[in-house]
Amino acid sequence: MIRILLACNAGMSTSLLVKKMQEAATQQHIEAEIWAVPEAELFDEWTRADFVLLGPQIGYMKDEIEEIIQGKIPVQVIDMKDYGRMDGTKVLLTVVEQLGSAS
Amino acid sequence: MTGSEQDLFEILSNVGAAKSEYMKAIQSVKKQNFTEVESLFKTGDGYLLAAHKVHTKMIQEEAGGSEPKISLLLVHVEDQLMGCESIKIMAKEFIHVYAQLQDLKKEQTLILNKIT
Repeated sequence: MIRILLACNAGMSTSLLVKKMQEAATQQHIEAEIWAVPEAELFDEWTRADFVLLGPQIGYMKDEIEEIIQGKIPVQVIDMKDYGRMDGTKVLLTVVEQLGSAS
Repeated sequence: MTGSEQDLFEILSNVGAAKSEYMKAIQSVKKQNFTEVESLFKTGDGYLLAAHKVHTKMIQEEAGGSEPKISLLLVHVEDQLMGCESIKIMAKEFIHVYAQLQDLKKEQTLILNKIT
């Protein structure tokens, strides 16, 4: 079971990506919990996650967020091309690949 | 995803990336690093231009008689575009302020060195 947390300004635009990633997970038989929060809630939520993905619009906050997470889980900015295409499969597989190579 | 939704997400991802570059420019001058500002702005402007191209295309389609679908997502996109434009203008102002602040600090050190 992998738990992926997505964050953006209001948690709005990432919500559709979450839906697409969940569909991709079902199709690929990957057990995953994927959810989105506004950036302000990230600091309470990240402890439940294995991987944090940031919307391109809050990419500039990566350093600040990494300071709080202190390397305990990976933090990555979603590729803006994948984001623009709402390519849930690609985003999900990138995370799976990275978690796989880390363990 | 429909064609118009695809357009909206293309604007959203570009405008988001642009905003992030402008914010990085402010963060970098805050740390007294002025060397990266130009390239950060250049990258940001590239993304903003890409977003505007899609936006202009949508406006032209509407002017051509094709009625746009008004959705919360469209409103969100317009809001993000506006936000990004404001952040770009303010980022330029911040850079000037930090540059002046750095000059003032240098002057202060020079004066202090003379009197001590």
